[in-house]
Amino acid sequence: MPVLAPLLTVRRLSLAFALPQGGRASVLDGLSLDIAPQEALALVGESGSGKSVFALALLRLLDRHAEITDGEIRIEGEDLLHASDKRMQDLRGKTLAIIFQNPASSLNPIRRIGRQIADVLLAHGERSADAARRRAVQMLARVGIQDAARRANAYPFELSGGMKQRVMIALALAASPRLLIADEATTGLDVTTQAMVMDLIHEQARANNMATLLITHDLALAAERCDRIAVIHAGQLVESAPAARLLTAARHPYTRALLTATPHAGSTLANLRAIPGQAPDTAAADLPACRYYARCDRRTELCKSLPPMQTASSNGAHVVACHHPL
Amino acid sequence: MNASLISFVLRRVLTVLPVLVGATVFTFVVMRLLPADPAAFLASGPGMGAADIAALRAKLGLDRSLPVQFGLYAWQLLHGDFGHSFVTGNPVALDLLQRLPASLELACGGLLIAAVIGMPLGIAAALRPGSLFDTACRALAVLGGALPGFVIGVFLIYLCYFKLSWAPEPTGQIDAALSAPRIVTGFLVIDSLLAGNMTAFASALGRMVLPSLTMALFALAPVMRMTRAAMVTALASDYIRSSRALGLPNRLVLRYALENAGAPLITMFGLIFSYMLGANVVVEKVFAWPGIGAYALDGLQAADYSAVQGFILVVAAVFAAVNLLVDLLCGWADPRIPRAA
Repeated sequence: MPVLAPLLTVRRLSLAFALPQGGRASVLDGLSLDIAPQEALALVGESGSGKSVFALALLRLLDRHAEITDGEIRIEGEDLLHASDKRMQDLRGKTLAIIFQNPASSLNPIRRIGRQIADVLLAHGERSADAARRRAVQMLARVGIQDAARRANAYPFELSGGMKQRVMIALALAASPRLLIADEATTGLDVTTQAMVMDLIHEQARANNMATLLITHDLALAAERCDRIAVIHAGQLVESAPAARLLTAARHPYTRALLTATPHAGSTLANLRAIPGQAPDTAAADLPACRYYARCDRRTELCKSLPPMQTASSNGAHVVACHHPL
Repeated sequence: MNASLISFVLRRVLTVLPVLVGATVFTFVVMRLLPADPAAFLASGPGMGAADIAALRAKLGLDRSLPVQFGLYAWQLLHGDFGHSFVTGNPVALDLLQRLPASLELACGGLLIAAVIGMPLGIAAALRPGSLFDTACRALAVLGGALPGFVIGVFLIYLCYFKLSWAPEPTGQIDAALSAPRIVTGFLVIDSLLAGNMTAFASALGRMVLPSLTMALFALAPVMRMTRAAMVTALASDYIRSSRALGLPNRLVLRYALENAGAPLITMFGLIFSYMLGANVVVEKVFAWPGIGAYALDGLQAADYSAVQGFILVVAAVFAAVNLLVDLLCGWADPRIPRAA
């Protein structure tokens, strides 16, 4: 398999929120990550770990309290952090697109769904309104909406939750992006619908040669659906590895703790273990260099003062950031 | 669709009836609680004695018991008779009908100016919440809300008429020397335009400026603040974030937000319009505007029962009509609102 130049490159990305009561919270700390073309990568972490902020940073859709303090984001070689607002508008939807968590509120409630898809097509190069409308119907059919021509005239409130998420996927796919980000795209849907939506994302990604970034708190889902998994804890990337390897040979204490906290077939309640403590307050002035320090059973004084050491496997596929990996 | 629309309107009209009945009873009672005697007021000439006043009371039916008086009034109302004004001597219905368009014209003019100025300011403030501009708008709104309408009106007359001579004299809708155009809409500005009478149009428009500006200053603060609030809510929503994430151009994103702010804004304009009809009373008096507000104020001073009661009924009916219109427009602006519920 030829080595492909990465589609997305993130280097040392650090991001801080200005807090209303003063001070700053360091939400992302020196995060580096690659996604190859057509690769499916999962970014796994607890709520508050910064994974959704990371997705918004890729799209430069952060609110005005957030500031990127360091690092670089490139997509297809292009520097995103220094792109003009106009250029960013072109890239959104066309090069990288996102599906958000809550389809019920993420669709414009008072515009017909066919028209919303046509709006995206018209924003990204389609000139004829008629053609945009026809292609919108095709897009709806493509994401498995029955009777698409009639459904195109429906308003979001007339659709079920699963259908709305299908429409969100159709919107995200409309301009054929190279990278599709799914930010907790199935959270809040029932289990059957979840599987259906994941299948759809998977199948569309393959059919369109898209890379996917799946952002989730669900390690089992990530392992099932993705080629590679990156684990984030309190804004620091702790480990990334091919999915199968991460499940069997996790090296970071946090990843291991996550795995023992994840139920799977055949596990009993006795061998489920909750991770002790909680993620540190990222606004604290005395954050340890490794933010897992307070919860870790392998910590030493070193972890407090010196940033975690990056160790890569011989082929470079498995990277862990820890002074005392397993 | 059309049949359901008609039944919707009919049902709404039926629900308004109890309100009108309540308003009738309430004003009837309140007017008679006032320590004023219309007979004494009318018979205040030098040659009038107690016997004359008593005769007048009997003639006006004021010597009967209150329930009987009310029964007679209600019976007249059911036959479309609002009674006669003690002051003008005309049927109250005729007086009100002639004066209502002038009041509506003033309220519409004021609302239009407030909307044209207040909505862009509100939208601009919503786009930069917390900015210097936003703060300045807030301060302006507080100032506008704190000044009573007649103070603004008197100040505008002093400045624009007496000092600068920009404005025509503040005496009514049109220059008394000009003949009014044929009544089509009842709005003098529109009727004179329809008649092609440019002199009358210029005079009517010129005389509308100051009073509608006074009304507009009164409505500006709520229009601005509520537009800002509706837009801030819309702009902070998930669908605006996803429309940005899909690379929609800024103009379209703003349009999404505006369309979603539509129903709350329509409701707001309905409220403010109804409110302005009440505020009209003082402004009409200041500008000698021949509307129903000034009529009611004169009626109140003269204990002119029928005139004030008629005014309240008309205002209640206009409120109801505005509310109905607001509901219909909201159903059109937001598909989630059932149109024929």
